[in-house]
Amino acid sequence: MTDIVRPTAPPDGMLILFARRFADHRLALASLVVLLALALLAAAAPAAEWLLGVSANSVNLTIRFAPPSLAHPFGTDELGRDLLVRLLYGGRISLAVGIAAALASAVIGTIIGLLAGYYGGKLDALLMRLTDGVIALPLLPLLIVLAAVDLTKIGLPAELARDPDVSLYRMVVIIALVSWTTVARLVRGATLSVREREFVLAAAACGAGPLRIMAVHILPNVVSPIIVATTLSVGNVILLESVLSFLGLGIQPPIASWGNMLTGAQELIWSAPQLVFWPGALIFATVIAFNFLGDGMQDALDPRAITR
Amino acid sequence: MTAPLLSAEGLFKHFPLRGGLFGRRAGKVHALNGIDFAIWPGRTLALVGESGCGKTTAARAVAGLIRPDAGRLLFRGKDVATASGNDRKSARRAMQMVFQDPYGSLNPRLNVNAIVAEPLVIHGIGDGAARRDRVAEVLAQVGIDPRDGERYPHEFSGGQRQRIAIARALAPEPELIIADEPLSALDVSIQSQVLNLLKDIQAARGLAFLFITHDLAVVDYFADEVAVMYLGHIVERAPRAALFAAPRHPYTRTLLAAAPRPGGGKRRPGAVPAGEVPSPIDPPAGCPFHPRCPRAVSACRETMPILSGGDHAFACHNPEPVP
Repeated sequence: MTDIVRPTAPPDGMLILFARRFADHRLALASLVVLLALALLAAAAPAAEWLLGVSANSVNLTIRFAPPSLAHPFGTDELGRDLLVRLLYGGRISLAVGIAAALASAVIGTIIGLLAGYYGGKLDALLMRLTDGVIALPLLPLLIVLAAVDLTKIGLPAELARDPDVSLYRMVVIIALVSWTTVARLVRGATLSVREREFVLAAAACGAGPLRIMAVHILPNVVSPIIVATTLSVGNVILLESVLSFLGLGIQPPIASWGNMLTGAQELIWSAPQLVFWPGALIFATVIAFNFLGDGMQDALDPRAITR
Repeated sequence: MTAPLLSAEGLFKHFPLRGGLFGRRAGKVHALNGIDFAIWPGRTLALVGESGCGKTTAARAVAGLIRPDAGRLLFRGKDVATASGNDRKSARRAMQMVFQDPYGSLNPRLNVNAIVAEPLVIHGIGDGAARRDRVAEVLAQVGIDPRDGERYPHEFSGGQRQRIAIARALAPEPELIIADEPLSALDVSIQSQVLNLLKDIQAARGLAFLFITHDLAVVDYFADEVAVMYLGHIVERAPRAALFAAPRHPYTRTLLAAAPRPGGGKRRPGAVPAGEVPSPIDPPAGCPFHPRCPRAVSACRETMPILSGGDHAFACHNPEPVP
């Protein structure tokens, strides 16, 4: 066989290929840097506390609404707490809840979407009506009910139920339970089209079972919508968390999150705009950065994409 | 003659057509209306016919992608259409399929090594190292450099992709390859390369082929036996030479006459059958070919002729005379 023309460029591993394509996407790379910086800063919140000699939750009414100074680089809030340190601690909560809940809802949505799209028929009808049902549920009353569930009643020890970490997990669970529907619908739609492709038939003709077909052949071909929807939902989740916090159901003051800082400063928007600006700007930057990140990952994951 | 490797007996498949409110059954497509054929070890059966005659449905039924409504599919004497568990799985291993569209039949997210290794993984053949060796071996056999195994399908041309698809089919050492129009998506110059490759492989390994095609030149070059399909029926089944020399069914004759041949010249009279292929949703009564048949007699409108005649079988009330 001498008539075979070999492609000229040397073959690359999947990861190298992915990294190089991703690096070509300038905005995505910048967004990744921004997000990593935010995460690092949030992780370094106790260090900032120590450096500035302030504590995130110590109230000092004599220095309410202080302008930026060396002791308080971003100034102080309505209770005289240091804004910078609270923003950093808030970033911990908001990023953790945002990413964890978005991932959890992506997993739920992907499983439901794959099952509905691959098996079709009655299972599809059942799962999609369930999805419609969740979408149709009035969100706020549901969230209030879920947030009000007494964890000691479902068998959690009392001291664990009052642990602030548990309220974090509870947020993640609640948000994941209501926000998987977008991913489920997208994955179902994509699965319906991929299922009919010949390589799925080829795998079936080989004797592959439904689990293998879904995991090896369908899932990798529907990651694009999953990634895009998940990165978009990180922003939504951060906002949802702020709504819940505003209603007194999410992260409870004095623990800071960007959401409850933003909503707590609502009535002060004219007198102390910086209290609204900083958490708002950080939420904005995070949401935008996640969107670009999703964009870049989508391009980089597609082996057919032309390298620029 | 030895026992056939695979024999189909009375395969039926009707696809329901749903329409209107609440998915009411609006009718059905008669894709397979009881077809019989047999494939012997190391030999090639070509299934030919126009688009929509049920060739692909037949191939998919044999490959286990479609469960026939009725009929038996005997592989080495065991019915695989209704088998389950181990019998079914071992039959799947022994029968591999090559699809028409090499752009669609390879998963774009898997590299060539993973694609070719898949049947080995599914059937639990060998360990990691043995699989890698086997993949390199079959890739070399089909003329793909094993060093390109890390590449993805989009980096290859159509002909190369079809070679990869063939390598995948060869990997688990099958006894039968079902090829569903494996050439029709390729350039003419590539078609002959791939066809020669298939012929070389068959000669080297004694593989049997079920070859679905509408290209009679390919049939003449590659097939041992030929079955002509029309609207879900096999209308004529014969060794290649006999069929080309003396077609007995009028449909086969028009099909042969319509085929372009090198050297050109005028089409022979009667080359083009009159009218259109009837709809498989509402097939005509009697012989399905009678509305277009130049030799139709009154019996053709009433009763379906039965495929009979031993080696050279045909289903016709008024067959073409032997020249």
